[in-house]
Parts: sequence; C-alpha cells; structure tokens
Amino acid sequence: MIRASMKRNVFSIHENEIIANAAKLFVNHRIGTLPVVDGSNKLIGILTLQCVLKIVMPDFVNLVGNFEFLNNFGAMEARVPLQKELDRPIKEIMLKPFSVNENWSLLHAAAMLNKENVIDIPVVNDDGILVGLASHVDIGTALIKSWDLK
Amino acid sequence: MSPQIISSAIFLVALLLIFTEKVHRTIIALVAALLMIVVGTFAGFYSQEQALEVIDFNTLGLLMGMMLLVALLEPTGFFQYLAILGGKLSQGKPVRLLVMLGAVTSIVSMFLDNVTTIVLIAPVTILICEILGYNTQPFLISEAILSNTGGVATLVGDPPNILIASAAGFSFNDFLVHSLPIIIVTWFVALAVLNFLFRKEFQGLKNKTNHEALMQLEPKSVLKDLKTTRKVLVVIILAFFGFLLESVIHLEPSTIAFTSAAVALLWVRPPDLKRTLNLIEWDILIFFGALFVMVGGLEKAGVLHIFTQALTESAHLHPLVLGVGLIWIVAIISSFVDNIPITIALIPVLQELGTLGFDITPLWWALVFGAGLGGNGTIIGSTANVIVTSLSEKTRNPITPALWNKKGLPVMLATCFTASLLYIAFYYLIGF
Repeated sequence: MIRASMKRNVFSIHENEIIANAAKLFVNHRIGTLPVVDGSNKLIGILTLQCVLKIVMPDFVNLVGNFEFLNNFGAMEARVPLQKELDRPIKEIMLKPFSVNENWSLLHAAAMLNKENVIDIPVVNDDGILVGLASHVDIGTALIKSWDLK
Repeated sequence: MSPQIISSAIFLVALLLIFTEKVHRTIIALVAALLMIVVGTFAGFYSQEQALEVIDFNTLGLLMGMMLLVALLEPTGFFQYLAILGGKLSQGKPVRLLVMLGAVTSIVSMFLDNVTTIVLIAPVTILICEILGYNTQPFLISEAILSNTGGVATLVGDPPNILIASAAGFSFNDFLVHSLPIIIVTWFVALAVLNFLFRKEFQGLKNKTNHEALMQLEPKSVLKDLKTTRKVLVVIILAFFGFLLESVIHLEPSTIAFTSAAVALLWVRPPDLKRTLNLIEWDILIFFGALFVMVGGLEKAGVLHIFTQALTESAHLHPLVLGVGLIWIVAIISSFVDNIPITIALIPVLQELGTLGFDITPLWWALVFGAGLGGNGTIIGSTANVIVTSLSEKTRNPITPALWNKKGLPVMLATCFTASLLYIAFYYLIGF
C-alpha cells in the first residue's frame, strides 16, 4: 500500500493564497510540490515549482522547440516577476488535482506518476482529503525493496 | 419560404457563428454546407450532384500541394533559421529588427502558407524580444500585418488569391505583373506607418543593452536536417518555375503544386509519412470545401443573382468607381468577417456580371486587394492576427483588441488608400 511509503507531514497551501507566499514555502522548505487544499483539507489542485517558474520562463521557450541556438538568454536571465504577478492567486496557475488513494498499491501509484509525468504525487483518503505525499523516490525505492535482491 | 430566404438564412447564420468564434469555423461551415444540401434537395433548389460540381478542386489541390511542401519543410527548422538570422542581422536595433522580421515573414508568406509562417516565426520573435528585453507588441503586430500584406502579392500567397485566380483564370505571372508592384509599394507604406505608430515604444528601447546575447545566437544550430531542407527548397524553387511557365507547359497550378509535393515526398521519403500528412491543415481544406458547397446553394437558389442585378444597376458608374468601391467594401467586411467566405460568395457574382458583358477583370483585382488588405484592420481580421495575439498572451505585454484597433486600423486604411491610388494608376497606365 502507498500509505506505508508516503510522507505524512506534508506542506500544503490554501487555494486563496497568493503566488508570493507559495514561492516562500518552496524556498524555505526546499520542496518542489505543494498540494492545494480548501478549508476542509480537500485536495483541489497542485502547485509545482515549474508552475511558479513559468512566470519568468513562459511557454514560448517550449514553443520554439529547439533552443540549441541560444547561448545567452540575455535580458531573460535578469528577469524577476513583477509584484502584480506575485500577488496573483495560486488558483490561476495551479495544475488540476491528481492524486492516488492511500489504499492503492505501489505499482498503481507508480503508474499514476508515470501517467501524470510528475515526481511527487499527493495521497488522499476515500473522501478526497489530503493525507500525505509520495515522491518518485519513495515509490520507486519501496517497489525495489520488494524485489528479491541478492 | 422561398429558396432565397432559406439559403440566405443558412449562410448568414453560419457567418455569424463563425464571427462569434464559439465553435471552430470548419465545424460550422461543414454543418451549414450539409444543411444547405439537405434543405436544398427537399426544397428543390439544390442537389447533391450540384454540390459536388461547385467544389473548386483546382483551389483545393493547389492549397494541399503547397501544404505538403510546407509539411516537409516545417520540421527542418528552416523557418526558425530565417527568423534568427534576421534577428541577428538587425543587431538588436528596434526599427531594423522590425524590418528584418517583417521582411522574412512577408517574403516567406509570398510563397508559402502565411499561417504556418507566423506559427513558426512568431515564437522566435518573442524569444528574440525577450533576450533583448523588448516589448513584443510592436514586433508581433507588425509581423502579422506585413505578412498579410506580403501574401497579397502572389497567386499562392493568400487563399483568396488562389480562389480568385482559379475563378478568373489568372496565372502566377498575372499576379507578378498586376499585384506584386502594387503590394511592394503598399508594403513599404505599411512599414512606414507602423514605424510611425510605434515610434514611442522604439524610443524607449534604445537604452536596452543585450545586443551581445543576440549576437551569440547560432542560427545554423536550429537546422535539424540540412539535407531535407536543401531537397525541399530545390523542389519549391522548381515549383515556382513551374508556376512561371504555367502557360507554356499547360499545367494547372494545382497539378504543378501536387507534382512538386509528390517529387519532394519521393526524394525526401519522410520516415514517418503519417506525421508529415498530419501537418497538412485539413481543417482549412474542409472549410474551403464546405464553403464552396454552401455558396453553391446560394447561387442555385438565385440569391447571388439578386446581388448581380443590383450591381448591374450601377453599370452607369465608371469601372474605376466600382473597382475602388469594391476594394473598400470588401476590405471593411474582411476586417470583421473571414475573407475566405466573402471571396467565395463574391466570385459567382462577378462571374455572372462577366456573362452580362461587363469588363470584370479590374473588379477581380479589386477583390484581391480588398480581401487581402482588409484583414489588417482588426484583431480578428486574419488568422495571422489571431495567432500573434494568442502568442502574445504568454508574454508580459498581451495584445488587446483596443491596441490592435489603434495600430492596425490606421495601417489598413493607409494600405487600402495606397492600393486604391495605385489601382487607378495601373488602370490608366497598363490596364487590367
């Protein structure tokens, strides 16, 4: 079961918080994923470091497809978000919620990680309440432990 | 209800729905076309056989052949290469950058599909602006406007031109003689007006210094497949020789485009043919086919005949008044409504005028200029405008409808005015 391998003390953030506060949480606790919850701790979204970094490195870098021709990002290197960008609610940039149920198997959770192409996945109970977070390392090492390694 | 009312209602409701952009224009056109056939069959003014006959396969073939060539060239990075090279050559000077990027998109749009050109070049434009720390708005708006304008110059540069050429029997060379010179002048007028309108924005960019980063760009490293690039470019050049010699080799433009595409496919042999074919803009081809069927219904129901009669009553007017009037009316309509349905609807009207003994050649050219230049006026006037606007939303300076009206509308008025003056001059100097 995934609940045996997940982290239980998880930092989460309320849906009405602003991006600046989320950014502080990422930096102060050196984390990469923040589950977004409502007043009853129900998972309603996911905020990743990538969502926040997109403010200074928007999608157009991906649109170009190939940036091997770029040796120097010029003015982009010095780009910092504007205050009004940091004051936006996280709701505007968070990802739709995805999670695994605490009763799911490790392989089921690994398949979900793979499908969502993420490195951390929130764990919820049957009511959708956030109960933990499992990283790809948590899931992967727990799976490998079950092998008969000699 | 009379066939005229039924068919007009279907066409107008479809146009209105296309205008609202709630549902993709291709889906609306397809539903409306099928409705026209079914209703027309029961009401007795249109048949399935007639619907098939009105589809202009020469237009569809030419579009598809050119799309196939672009589909082969697109993944090679050639479009991005040109944009980066243009950016580098500008040395980061704002006006020069606008001219270089505008020229690259315009020249490519004269020969290849301008939607693909914008889709591939606009992201590079944003990247160059971000490297330089420039506001992207002047560059994106100018790129769309200049590419729309450049496309009017050649037979293959703009879909309305392909439609008009096929209906009027104009060759590639006819466009080089009648449209290219007028458009070259108009393009420079558009450039001058854009430079004037964005003068304040450019003034503020003079202190920015990230030129070194721009000069370190390596355009060549964006070319992923040099061999394929060369092969497709050779075939495209041969295709243009084919278009130039159309009257000598007695081949339709669609045959030339398709033959070139077939030769390119055989030479390149893309490893994943399905992927290449997926790059063809099927939505546009279906949109065209559906519009032909829809307008065919209007024609068979006698609606377009009413328009022709109204125009015949203005026969006492000088052909130049009619021509210039047509440029402006079509331009104004095209700035709000897609210029493709307008062109397809006006073609049978002009053809009927021709059968009544009118000299319609000047009117065909008026339609070319009106449909091509009108799209610059509003944010929804052309697909290129819509694309750069949606890309700008990923930057700090999104393009708003109000901004477009402030910058695009004066350009549209100036270019239509210039084209009208040159149209009059051409009428007297070389005739149409």
